[in-house]
Amino acid sequence: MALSTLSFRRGAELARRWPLVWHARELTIDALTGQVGTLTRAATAAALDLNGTSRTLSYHQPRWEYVSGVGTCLRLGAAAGALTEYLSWPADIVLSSAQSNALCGMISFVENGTSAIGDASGGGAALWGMSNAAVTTGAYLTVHANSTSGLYTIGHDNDVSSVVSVLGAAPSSGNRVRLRWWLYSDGRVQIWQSINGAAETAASVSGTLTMSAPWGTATKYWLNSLGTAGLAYGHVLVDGLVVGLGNQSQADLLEALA
Amino acid sequence: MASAITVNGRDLITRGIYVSKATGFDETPERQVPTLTPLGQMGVLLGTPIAYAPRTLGLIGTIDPAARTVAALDAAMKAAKDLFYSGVLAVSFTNTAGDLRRIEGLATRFHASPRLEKQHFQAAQLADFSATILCPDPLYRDPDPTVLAVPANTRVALPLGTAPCRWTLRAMGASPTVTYRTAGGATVWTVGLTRTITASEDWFDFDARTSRIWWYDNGVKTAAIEAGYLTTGQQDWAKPFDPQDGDYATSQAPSIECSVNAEVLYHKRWL
Repeated sequence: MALSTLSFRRGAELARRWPLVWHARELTIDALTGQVGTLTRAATAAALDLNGTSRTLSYHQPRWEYVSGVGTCLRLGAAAGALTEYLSWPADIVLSSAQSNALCGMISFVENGTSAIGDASGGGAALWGMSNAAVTTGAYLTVHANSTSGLYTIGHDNDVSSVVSVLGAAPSSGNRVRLRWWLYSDGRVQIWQSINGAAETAASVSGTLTMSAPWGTATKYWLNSLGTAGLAYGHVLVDGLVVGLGNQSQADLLEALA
Repeated sequence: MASAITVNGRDLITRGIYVSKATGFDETPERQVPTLTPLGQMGVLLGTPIAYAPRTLGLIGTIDPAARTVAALDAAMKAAKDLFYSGVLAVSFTNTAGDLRRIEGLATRFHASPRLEKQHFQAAQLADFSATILCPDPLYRDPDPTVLAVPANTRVALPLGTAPCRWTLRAMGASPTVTYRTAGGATVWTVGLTRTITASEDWFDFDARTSRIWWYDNGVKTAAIEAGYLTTGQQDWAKPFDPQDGDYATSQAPSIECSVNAEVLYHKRWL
């Protein structure tokens, strides 16, 4: 059993319980659950170190950044979608009959401002997604900021039509945000938001939507994107991400992120 | 002593698992030192490398689910067994100074038995439990890593814990030379490459966990650096950052320097 101080994998042993668990503090873009991550950024970009010193990093190099009170995060994107930067993992999941088609997840991050997140120029800035690379065909799930209001939204598209659940308030810049989302087995979606550790507020659940064909082997999880050319790119400091089968409780999702 | 313990991120108390006695947390790991007795002479010479024996953590306590029913106890016992035997465990605890520490290990034993205070064990609502966790690497680590910018040709202090730690340095420029010094400025080791990379797009990973140097081509881990490219200093550079190259008690730390812009990544480690 190799136990290293960096890139430690509780790995397949813990991982079997969740389809995807990723923690920035492990200092690797690979997930704790074993999926190899791919960071896309064809440009240099800067990040702050533990002492607040800026450093410029090479193409595709992860921008680990320390945020006081939060810990180590991965910085993705730049203001107003000015930087194409996203992380992806393969999402080769098979849904069991016991879990039906339901999915859930939680994203923990530091808000960088609604002006940066809510990209008014297009279809909203993606924070998390699950789709194939092209997005133009096939079903997808997306957590994104609404293009005009900047409010965080969970959307489910079955390749024919779509449903959304939209939160009632947007966080402020510098807030620590946790978004929890559920995809119900009947295609409905719902999103919850916790700001700075406060109790969650819930958005209204969407209408039902016929589930499309199962997620294919080409499906990927996207962080700060939806596909390779989907929604605009956001600007976030993410410290953890989890995706689960079924509709798991806030407590269980928080434990997976701990 | 530990004031709060989590296993794989799961708080034990919220799972109805109350620890009344914890052993092994505050012990230093046993050192194993190679020795040499010179022939025909008195005394012993201490050799290297010094190894640390594994750490064994013991937890003893009570399983007391929130709902005091037979069914709840049965479920809590099964959940506890499942939790402790779910592969490699990440055990975290906060000590009385408020410091969060983490260690990885494997449960080698878990035992739970209903208290026989009722007429039959199947009517019990509480259970005693004990668990033994073997940690082959006995050192704790800071759950949050240390990431420091290393501007070109600038000595950067390396705050450490009380134990040596492995590290990675990412050098973002061609032909880097890296030098590690004690707090007093004496060079411990230096290593230099002569190899061209594409400016801004590539980098080198000096990985002291695996004792390898890797070239990342446009984000892709492409090739290990061959010995022929090592043109400066020593090839035994892959040593841990050691607090004994400074003085932990008085916050005097060793330093790292690189001839090109770089970043260094590590988790502090503790005895």
